[in-house]
Amino acid sequence: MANPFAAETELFILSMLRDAPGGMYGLELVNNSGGKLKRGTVYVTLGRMEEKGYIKSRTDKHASHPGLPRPRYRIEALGQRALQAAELMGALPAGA
Amino acid sequence: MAEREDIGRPKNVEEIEAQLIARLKALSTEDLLDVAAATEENILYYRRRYTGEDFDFIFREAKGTVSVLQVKDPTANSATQDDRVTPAETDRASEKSASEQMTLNFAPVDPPGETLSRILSVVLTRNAYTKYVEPVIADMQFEYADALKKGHTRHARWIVIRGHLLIVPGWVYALVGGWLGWIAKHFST
Repeated sequence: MANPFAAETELFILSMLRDAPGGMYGLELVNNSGGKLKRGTVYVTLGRMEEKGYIKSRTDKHASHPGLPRPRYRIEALGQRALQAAELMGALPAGA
Repeated sequence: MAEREDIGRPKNVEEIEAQLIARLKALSTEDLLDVAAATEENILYYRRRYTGEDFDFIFREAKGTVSVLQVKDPTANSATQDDRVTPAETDRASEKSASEQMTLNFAPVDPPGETLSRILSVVLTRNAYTKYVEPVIADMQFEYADALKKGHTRHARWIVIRGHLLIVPGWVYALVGGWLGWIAKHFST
């Protein structure tokens, strides 16, 4: 049964973020997803999730690398609840 | 930031270069943490700070040869003429040797994607740009610098090509989403 609150990809991202209390970069999510997340679309999904209030991004202005700062994503309380709801409904995607 | 190392206060650039090359040969590329910029010609620019606030070096590495491009010495104003070590800001080109003059012309190269970033930051809304485009460019720059640090220049070039292709879905989504939002806002009954 599909979770009405979040898409499968979103639930997968939420489960990864739940296991990373310090948050994760978008690229880390892609690299640790085993091919389930794509570089080209991950930020579209993350942006949508942020609009829903499931996650929050924070940009470190004092990055240790040259170039633009990279946002780090953390799960929010609403995201935790959506994930719990999916678990209760047995709607978590495989591998999450 | 790279760890600080005290190399004393050398009297001229050649001396600095000889000392630094000797030290750099003992380091692995993993130690060169602070990559400033790189060109497409297998040339790596990076900087390290020695003796804390005293010297800030920018190196150029090409085909295994390391040379110093710029040495900034914040204490140069208080030092004597003989003690000075190529202050880049000071226009004393006529007094310098050819190798020292090169330092005056050095300008750091922008990380890849900077031009595209500037264009898209104007074309797209701030929200769309920061959410969908900027992170992709930032990832590309991060991976590019990381590949160069490891000496994988061909992979670094591939990262730049791939990065520019990956930006397309993000800005198309941002652009179309922005239009649809605007239409929905102004024409919905």
